[in-house]
Amino acid sequence: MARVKLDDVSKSYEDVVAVNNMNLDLADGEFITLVGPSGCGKSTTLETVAGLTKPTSGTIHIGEKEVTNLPPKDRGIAMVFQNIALFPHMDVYDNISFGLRLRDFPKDEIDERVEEAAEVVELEGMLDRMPDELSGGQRQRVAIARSIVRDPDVFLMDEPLANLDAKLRVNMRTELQRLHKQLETTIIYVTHNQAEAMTMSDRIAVINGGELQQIAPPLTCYNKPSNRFVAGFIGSPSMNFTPATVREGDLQADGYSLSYDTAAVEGLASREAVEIGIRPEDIYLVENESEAAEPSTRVEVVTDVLEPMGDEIFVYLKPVEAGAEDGMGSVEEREGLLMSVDPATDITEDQTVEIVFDRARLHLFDMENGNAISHGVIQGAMMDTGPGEDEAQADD
Amino acid sequence: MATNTDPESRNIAQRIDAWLDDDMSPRRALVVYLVLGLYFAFLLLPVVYMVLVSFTSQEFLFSSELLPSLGDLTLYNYEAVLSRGDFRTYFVNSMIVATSTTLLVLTVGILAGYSMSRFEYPGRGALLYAFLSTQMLPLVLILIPFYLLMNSLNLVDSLFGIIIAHAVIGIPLGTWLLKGYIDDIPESLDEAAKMDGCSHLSILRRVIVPLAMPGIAVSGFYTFILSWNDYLLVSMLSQTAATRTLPFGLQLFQAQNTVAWNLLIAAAVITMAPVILLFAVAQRWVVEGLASGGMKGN
Repeated sequence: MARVKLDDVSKSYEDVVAVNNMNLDLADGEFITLVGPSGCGKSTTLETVAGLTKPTSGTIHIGEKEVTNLPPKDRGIAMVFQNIALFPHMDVYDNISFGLRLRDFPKDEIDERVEEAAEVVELEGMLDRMPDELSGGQRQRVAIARSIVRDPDVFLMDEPLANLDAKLRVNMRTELQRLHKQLETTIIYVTHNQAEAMTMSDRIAVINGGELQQIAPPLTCYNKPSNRFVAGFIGSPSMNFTPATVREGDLQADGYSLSYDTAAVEGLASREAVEIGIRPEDIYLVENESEAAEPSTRVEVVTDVLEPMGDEIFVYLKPVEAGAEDGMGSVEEREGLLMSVDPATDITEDQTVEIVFDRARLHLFDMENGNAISHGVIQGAMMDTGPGEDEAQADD
Repeated sequence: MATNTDPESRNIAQRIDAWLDDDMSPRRALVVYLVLGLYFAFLLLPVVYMVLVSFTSQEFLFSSELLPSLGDLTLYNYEAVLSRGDFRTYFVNSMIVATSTTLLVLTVGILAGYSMSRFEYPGRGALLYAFLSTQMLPLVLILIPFYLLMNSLNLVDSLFGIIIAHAVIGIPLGTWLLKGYIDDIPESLDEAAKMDGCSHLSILRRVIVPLAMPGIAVSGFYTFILSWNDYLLVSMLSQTAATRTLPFGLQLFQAQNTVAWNLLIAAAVITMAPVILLFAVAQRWVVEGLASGGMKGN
């Protein structure tokens, strides 16, 4: 087990900056997930920690030791790869024991450790099988056993579940959480799948364009995103965004206005415009108005497409026809809202409905740099951020 | 009116296509095996006949009989060929030259192929194309400058010189082939080995070489044949009987006006045998898809 610290780590490839001034500080035994869209630099960050890529600048510490220029084998780490990377010419035993054999461990100890590791990942009795005789999940477990057998200080996992089918992915997710609980080792996990990030991690680091956007517990990223990117990336379906003009005490958006508490959002009146963000689950039909902590005034909209998901229905909303005359473009041109409702709700397509927004869960973002201005616009009903507060936020 | 998909309206070529495309059809299998059978009969029949008549006498060869009876068979030809000291020397020389060339080409090819596959360095692409361009010139074109070069290096009339000459011809293609095979081995295996503590050479020995065995077998086999069958370079570089190889040895059985066909055929079979034996060994790796299994989706 060890603390991992990245100080101003950057990695450039000719003209492309893959990682830009990354600062991360992981506590001993922490499970942290690097999440972001494809090509955002999360895998490169992991590779710099692994020693597979040398950073252009910055330093990396694992435990008390600076490892920036050390080869991977001297860093006390183990890595699980996206494509599993088992040696196809070796059986399960040889795959798991490979690192120990290289380090000239005595045969008895190798046997003992391999058996222990196989037991942890429930692979007993399969040690003499070849990788091509195993299922996808079993192969992934061999890859994990190969990592834990060396008793590393830090586990690095690069999208280890990406190639598994949906059901197996959920099972393996639980197994990884169980493993983390059992081994209490620091884990850095890379994924673009936010469900994995939200469910498994102590904290998630959201990365975009090589830069850290926010590092915080999952619920904090969800409830108090530091900027528009995090707000849009975390949460499925994505948050609704709409520009609004700021007036004294209310925000004028596309065909509706939302009042706010001037005391709750300091300095808002000095701005001309902001971007409103509201999650689909924070929009309510007027008959469920009581479920919202701070319902807004009612807004009339027309339902467009319905997507029944089983446990909820996604309802795409468009402004009523009359709204097209307000100088904001035709109905077709304007971005609609997405709302999620209970599956028992009696709702059809092209139906005129009234909705309310929960103003306690409204997010305001700066129009220019996208930084969060406020989470909730009503004093006393500001958003609950869950058990952990932000520990670090990136400056844009 | 019949459409294009109606079997009756299609032309013969289309119908044959459709018939052959049906994977499950026993008729298709029959046609495929018949064609392959004819092809291999065409290729193998002369070889089989050569082996058969290598056990017959010169008299039989000049008789009107096509197939020998049991009584016509004799081991005399092999006895006569193998009892010649010069032929035995040529055989040993051929073994030394071909084996050493193969080992040299594989050693250089594996190291160069790994380097070109895994590392970025200036001139890598140019070097690859330079290797390829060496294959574009007919050997006879470079024969004289090559002889002058070998002469200046004092490598004429030595087995080492012949080995170097064969390796010069074999290394470019061997490297190309091996680079291609190593390219197909996912780099994440190198990275996994690196994480476990392997150096580059250790990765090469423990991961790359075992997984590139099909490529190594093909390169090795190709090089062995190239060296074993070479006549041109040996005839140029070898000046005495001590450095001659088997293709040269076949001349022993041809006088100015006569050819000892029975001995020549037996010598040809002996010349051919190691290559066939080598293929029997190498084909196991060639057909084995070793690289499958450990990676995603396999």
